[in-house]
Amino acid sequence: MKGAGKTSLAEMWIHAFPAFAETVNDAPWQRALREEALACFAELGLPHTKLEAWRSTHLGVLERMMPPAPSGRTPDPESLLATGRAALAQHPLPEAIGSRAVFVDGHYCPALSSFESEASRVQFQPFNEPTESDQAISTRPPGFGELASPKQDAFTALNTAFAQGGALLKIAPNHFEKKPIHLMFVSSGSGELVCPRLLIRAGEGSRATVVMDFLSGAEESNHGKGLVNELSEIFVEENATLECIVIEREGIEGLHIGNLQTHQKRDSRLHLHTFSLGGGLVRNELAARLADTGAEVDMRGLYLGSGNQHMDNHTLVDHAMPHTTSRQIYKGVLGENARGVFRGLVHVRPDAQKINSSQSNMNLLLSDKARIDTRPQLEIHADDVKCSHGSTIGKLDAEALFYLRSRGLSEPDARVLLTQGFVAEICDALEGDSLRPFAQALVTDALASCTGNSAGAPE
Amino acid sequence: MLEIKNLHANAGDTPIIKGIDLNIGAGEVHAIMGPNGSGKSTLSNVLAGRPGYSVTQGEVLYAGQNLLDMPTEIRAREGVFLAFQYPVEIPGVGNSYFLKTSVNAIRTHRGEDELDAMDFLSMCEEKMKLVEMPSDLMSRSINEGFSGGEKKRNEILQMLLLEPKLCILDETDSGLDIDALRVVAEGVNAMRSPDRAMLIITHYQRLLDYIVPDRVHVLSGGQIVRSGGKELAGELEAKGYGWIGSPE
Repeated sequence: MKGAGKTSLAEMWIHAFPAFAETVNDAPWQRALREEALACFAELGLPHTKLEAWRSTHLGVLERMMPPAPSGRTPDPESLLATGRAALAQHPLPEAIGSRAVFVDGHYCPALSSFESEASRVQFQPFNEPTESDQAISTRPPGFGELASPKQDAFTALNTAFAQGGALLKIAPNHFEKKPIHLMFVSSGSGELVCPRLLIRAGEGSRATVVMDFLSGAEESNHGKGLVNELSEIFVEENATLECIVIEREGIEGLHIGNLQTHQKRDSRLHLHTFSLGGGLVRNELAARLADTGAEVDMRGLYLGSGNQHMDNHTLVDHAMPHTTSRQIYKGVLGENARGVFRGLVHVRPDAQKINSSQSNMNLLLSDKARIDTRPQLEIHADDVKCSHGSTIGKLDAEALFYLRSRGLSEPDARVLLTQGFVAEICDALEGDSLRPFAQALVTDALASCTGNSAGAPE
Repeated sequence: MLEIKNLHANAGDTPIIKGIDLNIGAGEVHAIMGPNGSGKSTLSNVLAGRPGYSVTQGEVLYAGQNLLDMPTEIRAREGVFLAFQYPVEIPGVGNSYFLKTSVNAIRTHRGEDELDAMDFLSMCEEKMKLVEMPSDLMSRSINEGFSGGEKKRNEILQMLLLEPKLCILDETDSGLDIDALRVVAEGVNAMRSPDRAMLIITHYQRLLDYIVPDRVHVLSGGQIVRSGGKELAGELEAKGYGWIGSPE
């Protein structure tokens, strides 16, 4: 118990749980999990900077905001619909998108979602809040909670306790879903704790692209206030290819703690792209398990910060078996007082021979006050492996700046062009042509605010 | 076109240029030769406005205006072009996009309409033929992975596209084989016109076989120690820089 008379954030959430659990429209299998998870959370408490994994990320802003726990009530569908509709109107989906699902504060909006004709090959099922057309899941789906244990991580516990409106997305074996599946998570800016939960299973030999798009609603006053504590478990079966694109573009008052846990079987390929473009504090936890031979994971991350934004990427790659491959490229551009953290651990188990791993973190600091803590780490217990890692921190190249200006470009234009050049390879790595322009446009917008204020600053 | 009067300049804190006077009229091609460390590159850097160089005395007039007061990009837009000795590699920025942005920045400054992608491409194709530049270099990042010759061709291509009034070539011939040198020289010669001035900075007389200058100046110890016609270059070739002597 902390200071007398003052309830801590963790206590507030714990106290709110019984009412939430009574109210929420649950499948029976969820109830027991929630209670177990809450007990874990009560034991773990909120992470603090004395924990190695949280050393560089202080949650003071979260404790000041005190986002209340969700009530558990299913909100009025009309108001959900209105918020979702307005968000879609302001942030139109890319044309190439096929199936889509819209969630508002974690609640599934069936009226704004659609799964196309080949839907039987792509199965989408909400965990609770069943609707007429979508059957809720009556038993615990295989894989749920297998990768993310509430015992070890407070936010995993919190998500498991308070998740509402999450869903299972399943790609049938050998199905090639040509168009990206877009999952849009709209934050109404209510200031609450929202816990989206996903379970994605890419069947054997299948191929698909899934976009997870986190944003704030359309109202001008909506700065995404609240905490989005999202958790996704992703299983990629034998020889399947899955591309997963996470876009975080919430308003400046939005706090985002994301957790992506992946598990790959033999010869599978997983491409993970994380674009951290908005939000006041963003933390991405990403753990990739290469559980069988031939599995390959490609992780690209881009974080663009300005103002007082804090962007934290925390990755773990587990080479559990021989002949597995991982590649990580994380790039950051930080201006003004923004702060970035990159901590990546590549773990090679004793029998995981002939693995190939690379990890790189490159940072561009646009102001003297911007800060990055970068720690790429290797832990190798096998002796016949190929591993590389490295990180760089730099400013814009003065020579390049002069070169562009000597060709008539203004200094701000030259800075923007160089910064775009620095981040280009992250967008270019998107598979297929359909999403690249969409991501590029979002990145260009975010860069403009990132470079805007520092552009005219004297050297 | 260009009047340099009693110019003194430092590179960092080190005085390099110690009193240069030079007039280049429209339509003229002047060559500056000199041994390493004589101040050739400092002169070109000062004229282009590179950070890290400071003028301690004297003035430079360009078309009657004080050149040294203008920021680098304004010099470029007003028609001053420096072909870099070491063109910079810029990963992630497409060469074609860069060239179009540059051309349009200068067109806008001149009050002309911006070129659209199609017009720009057709303009480019024509100039690329002149410098024998392979088209795939346009879709690559600026100078990234270009050979030495390709980088210099890219410089000349930029010069052809931007149509400057004052062209400064800083050791453009250094490191070029004889074939690339011929191509670069052809590009430069195509630019010669009665309303354009050129300043060719070189260490080797070889370039001046291809680009025949109106005047040749020898720079040593930060000063011009001799000036003459094109035959001066031949003399230097035969005798080396040793006989020039130092300025003091």
